[in-house]
Amino acid sequence: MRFLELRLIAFGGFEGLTLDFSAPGLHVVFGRNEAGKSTTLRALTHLLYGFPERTVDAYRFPMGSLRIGARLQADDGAVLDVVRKKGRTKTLLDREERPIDDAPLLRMLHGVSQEVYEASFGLTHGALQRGARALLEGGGDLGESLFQAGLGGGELHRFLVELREEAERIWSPAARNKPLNEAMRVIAEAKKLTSERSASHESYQSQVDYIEAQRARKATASEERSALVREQKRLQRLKGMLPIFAARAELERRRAVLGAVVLLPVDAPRDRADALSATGEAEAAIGRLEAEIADVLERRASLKAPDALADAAAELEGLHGALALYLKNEQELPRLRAEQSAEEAEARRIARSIAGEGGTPSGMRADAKAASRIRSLASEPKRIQALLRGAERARDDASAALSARPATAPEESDRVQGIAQRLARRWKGLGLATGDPAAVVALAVPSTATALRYEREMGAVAEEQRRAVEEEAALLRDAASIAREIDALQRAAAVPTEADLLDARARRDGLWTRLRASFDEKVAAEFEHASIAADEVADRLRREAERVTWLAKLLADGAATKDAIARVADLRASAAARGEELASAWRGEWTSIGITPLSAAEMRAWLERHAKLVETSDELEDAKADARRAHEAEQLRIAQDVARHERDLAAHAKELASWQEEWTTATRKLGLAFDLGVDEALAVVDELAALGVRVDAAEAHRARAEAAAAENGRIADRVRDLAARLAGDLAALPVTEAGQQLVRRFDLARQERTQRTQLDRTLDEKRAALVEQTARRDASAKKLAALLATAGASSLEELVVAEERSVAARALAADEERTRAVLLAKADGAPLDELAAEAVEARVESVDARLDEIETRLAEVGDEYDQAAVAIDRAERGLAELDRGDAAAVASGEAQAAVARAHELASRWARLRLADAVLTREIQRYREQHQGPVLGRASEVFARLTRGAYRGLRSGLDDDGENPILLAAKDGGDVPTALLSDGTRDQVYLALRVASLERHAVAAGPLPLVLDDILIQFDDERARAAIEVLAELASTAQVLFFTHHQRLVDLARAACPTGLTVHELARPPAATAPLVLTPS
Amino acid sequence: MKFVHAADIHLDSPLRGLDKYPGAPADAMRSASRRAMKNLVDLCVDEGADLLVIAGDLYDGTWKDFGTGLFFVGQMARLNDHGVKVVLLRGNHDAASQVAKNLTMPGNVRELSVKKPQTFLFEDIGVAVHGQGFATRAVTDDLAARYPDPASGLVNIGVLHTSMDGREGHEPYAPTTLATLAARGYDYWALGHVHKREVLSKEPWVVFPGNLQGRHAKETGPKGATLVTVAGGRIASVEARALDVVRWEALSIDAAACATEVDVLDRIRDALARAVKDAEGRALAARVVVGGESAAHLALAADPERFVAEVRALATDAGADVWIEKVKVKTRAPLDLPGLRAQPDAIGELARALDALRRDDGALLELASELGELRKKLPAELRDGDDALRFDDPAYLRGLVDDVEQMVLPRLVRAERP
Repeated sequence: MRFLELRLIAFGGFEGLTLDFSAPGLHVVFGRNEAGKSTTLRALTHLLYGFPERTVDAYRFPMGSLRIGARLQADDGAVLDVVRKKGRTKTLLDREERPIDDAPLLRMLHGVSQEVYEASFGLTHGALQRGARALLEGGGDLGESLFQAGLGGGELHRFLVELREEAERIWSPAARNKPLNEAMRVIAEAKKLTSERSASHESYQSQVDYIEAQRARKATASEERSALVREQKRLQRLKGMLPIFAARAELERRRAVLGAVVLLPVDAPRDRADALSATGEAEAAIGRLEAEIADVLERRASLKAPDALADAAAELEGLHGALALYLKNEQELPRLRAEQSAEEAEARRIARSIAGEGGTPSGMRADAKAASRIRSLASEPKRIQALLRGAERARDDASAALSARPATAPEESDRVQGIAQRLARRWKGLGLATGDPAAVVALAVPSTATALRYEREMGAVAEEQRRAVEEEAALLRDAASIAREIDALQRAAAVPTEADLLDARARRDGLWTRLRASFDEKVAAEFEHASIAADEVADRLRREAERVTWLAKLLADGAATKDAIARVADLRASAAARGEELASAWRGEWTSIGITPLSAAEMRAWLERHAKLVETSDELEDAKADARRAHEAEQLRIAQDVARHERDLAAHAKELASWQEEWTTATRKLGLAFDLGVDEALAVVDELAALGVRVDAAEAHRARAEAAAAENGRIADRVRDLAARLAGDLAALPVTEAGQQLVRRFDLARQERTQRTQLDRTLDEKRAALVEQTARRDASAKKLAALLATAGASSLEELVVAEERSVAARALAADEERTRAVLLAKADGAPLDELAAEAVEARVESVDARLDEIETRLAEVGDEYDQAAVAIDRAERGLAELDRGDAAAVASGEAQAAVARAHELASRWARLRLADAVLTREIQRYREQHQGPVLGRASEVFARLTRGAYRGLRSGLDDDGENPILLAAKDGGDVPTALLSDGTRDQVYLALRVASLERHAVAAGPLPLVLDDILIQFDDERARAAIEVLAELASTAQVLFFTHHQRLVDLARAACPTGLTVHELARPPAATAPLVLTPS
Repeated sequence: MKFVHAADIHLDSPLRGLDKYPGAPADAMRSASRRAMKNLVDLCVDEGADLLVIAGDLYDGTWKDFGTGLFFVGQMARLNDHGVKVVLLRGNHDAASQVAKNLTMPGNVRELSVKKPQTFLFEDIGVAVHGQGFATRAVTDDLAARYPDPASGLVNIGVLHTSMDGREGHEPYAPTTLATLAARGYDYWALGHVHKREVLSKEPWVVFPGNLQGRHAKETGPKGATLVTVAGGRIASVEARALDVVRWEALSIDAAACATEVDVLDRIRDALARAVKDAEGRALAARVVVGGESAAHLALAADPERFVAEVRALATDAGADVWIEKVKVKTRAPLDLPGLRAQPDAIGELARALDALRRDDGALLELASELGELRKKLPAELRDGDDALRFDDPAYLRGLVDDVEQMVLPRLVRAERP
């Protein structure tokens, strides 16, 4: 398959670019940096295999619009015209953008996938270098070299090294610390640990059995000890009870001696004594009470006062106080009557002073409201008079002021004068204008903006002229300098040419032919000379290249400078013309107002002064008008004041008349038949008030005297009535004496009555006590008789003896009871009778002997018990130690963790190892199978690429004589490829690659070979040889050679005068400004 | 009446495949089978169960530590305190177990005979339990066929350790059929041996409760026991109760749509978050398997160690106790392998050679001689078992060749692009 045409319809920076690849032979695609060489390379694979998901080429056209087209020719000559768009499906279109089946295209590609196409049919400079480096790193191993060249892409040797190194890191047979070696060791250790930590059943069971035996031993000892302790306790108890049983026998004996006894109550002796003493006390009390009763009866008979007086207590209550009041009233009455007379006389005197000799106090009372009104009206006339006078004065003052003012406003104020002076100064400072200032003010002058515009434009034109002049001078200096440099270069040695070099080489080669034919010293010397000469020409050609370039640049610069000088002169002239036009227009602006203008800048200042003059003139007119308006306003205000004061005067006069009317009405109300002045009226009001006070005081004294006389009459009636009813003998006595006697008699009667009541109560108490004592005496006699009967005694002496026997019997019974209680307590629940029987049998000596035996045995049994307990404890601890929880399981888990790690590592190691083995074997097989043909063809190509410096390539053995390696064949001895220079090794790799590709093309049908600047490290000679080889290859498969370098294009043209097509990529317009290349 | 049916407890058997690494939650995984056993006892007590049936494989066959047995006795004593009866049946593992033979159990525990079918009547709770344990490790007779007739008036439970008619990954012991079991006329068949929970039938109930605690990456999902409620002399309800303390999950990540390693890690992060949620607060042991034809293949395969470390870091960040058991990168490069094999050049020949290896057992075994040195040194744990490194097995080696193909070819067709 081959490309007939590639169309970058819309891709990267390109639009509508077509590359015609239809011609046979080698195609060179030349693009300087940024010209889009890489874009074009991408376009080739994108067309064949579709756009990748993410692209950097969608910066000028959106994703959906990207298009690449091509015409492709199949091996059988069929032509396919397709367009590729970006997308997920159906991206292959025909020229009318209709989706088409991609099977024909796939057939053309011989089933080569994109990866394989890029790796095998694309060769970049980088890939070439990597291939060459692999030759070096692989030590020139023949198999690897052939295989790597057969692969194209990928880095075979590096990959092999990685596989081996990783495998080596994971495990090696003798290592200890590599991860897999270590993991396997850990597995073994953890398994051992698991086993160690596992408790076996046997050890566990034997321990359990031992514990059981020891428990049985401990139980036996425990039982015997319990029995011994029980016996010991019983014996010790018996031993303690023996003396108590003896004491009990003694008590029984004493009871027998005492015999039968009547048990009297414990209190019997005390009861007997109590009865005897109670009888005596009662008889003494009876005698004493009878005497006391007789005495009381006698005292009661001596009380004689009458009861009637004591009964009248309610009536006599308060009589004492009434008598005191009676006496006080008798003393007060004369004084009250005298004071009443004095007040009445004073009142009469005042009445006369108001109304003359005929006046009496009766009916002459001041009306309080009228008096108050008179007092408030009295002060009014003075106030109103003062207001009248004030108003009159104000009116006169205002009238005087009005007549004093001038009729019109004064002409010159300070402000008006100040402004007029400023106007005069401004007029003087204006300049240019003459005549009437008012006329000048009215002139229609141009605006300052106009002046400013002229000023700027004129300035710009002037600046333009100045710059043109400067630039012209600089250019003239540059031109001179360039001329000098050209002159110097041209005067130096002549520049060598390619033809010179070809000549020198032809001569050298001719000599060499001759020299080889027949060795001749002279010719040898000549050859040496010619060889040096050819080299020199070649060297100079390279060296002088720079000077040639420099001269061309200088000539070009000279011409450019001359053009520039002419352009600048034109600029200068046009600027001067525009300056003249502007000046004329400026003068035109002023003609109509008859002013000859200065420069625009100066006139702008004048215009500002003129504007100030106009402003000041306006200000003066305003000031004069203000002064007139102020004068007229003041006249009007004063006239209004005069009128207001006249109105006030009238109002005050009216107020005075109304007061007079009110005053007359108020004084009439005093009830006097005549009119009064202000002061008189006030005096009458005061007198009437004093008269009222006197009349009131006289009335109060009179009332009090009458009340006292009435009260004394009532008291005298009461005393006379009491005396008549209760003590007739007092009726004739005066009121005060009779009253006092009555009070004294009543007090005496009341005292006697109290004494009699007291004596009656005492008598009742004594009689009751007498009854009580008599009963007590009788009861004691009865109790004594009962005691005698109980004891069976006939006399008090016999009673005493019976009481003593009863006490002795009770003491004996108490002792017996105590002894029994002690025995019961010691018996600790055992039946007393049995114990008593045992005690009778037992002897203290035999009990002690048995207790000693028990003591000894108990110690022995205790030791036995303790030993068993210790053994059990120890064995149980041993048993617990056997159960180590899940320690064994944990160790087993550790083993599993190591197994997992080892598994992972071993799996990885096996894969690495197998990959290595498969590859190594395949490399060897490939070498054996293809060594002959591939190496043969590569050898030829290599010889041509080195222009015969090497004869070719052949296989040999390494220093150990074991592994086949690749050698570069040379006359002076073959060189292992690993020892070649970098450039020559590039050529070895290229030769191998070309040989492999040719075989591929033959086997599967050719595909276009895309080469990207692979020759940049080749010198010109070898590059030219390489181009020749590629041109030859182009007859087998299409070769598209991409380069950035003009030199290589030139070399290609030289190497292939025919059968070469060069395509030069122009820089696409948008390629210099790609958008941000973020993948979509 | 309630009873709990459990099986395959494998007490103290370790969790497998958990390679330790810094940050791995070792404490959360420790003693998992013991803690799950405690959960089982707690379930019986909390639910007020009357009976616990353990249908075999209480212990691991090769396990020797008597401490394991003592722990079990301790747990049975707890049940005794709460009046829960226990019926044990020996499975294939117990038959071989030294631990099982020598223990003295509390009074509430009874073990079904291994010599002949036996019946325990628990009339107080209305239950008859029938069964026969394994006398030897490998019992290949149909034990169920000779089980006694049901006891009338009681709920009849058949206890059997069996592989039924064959279950993948399980030895074919005490084989039987559903029809045989149904013909016995029992109400409930309490089976053991198969580690995955399965209800084979509801008339009568035939149930594998699954094992109590997952032990490796193939025993995923909730694990526990079955709680059965009996009412009116009939089975009223059968519920699975999760009792595991470590949850195993296998996370399958499809990297087909992933362009980069970061995309793959994002997917793994999401899958881990879901698994953590499903584990309901338990520790999680996760196997991550990344597969699919992916543009990220080369990046993942280039440095597997680093990728594993990235995944472990994700687990550490997952906010729970998560242990990454293994990261398996099974991705394939987006390569046209048939096309590649058709190429008449070096890469084509290599691709063809790899393909041919798959079909040639002799060549495979010959190639595997490269692994001989390591194979000799591998411990038994790596040579035997489901997950063994079977370097002498062509089928296993074919799997290795698949991986090698994906390691080698993408690397060698890699080219730079303009």
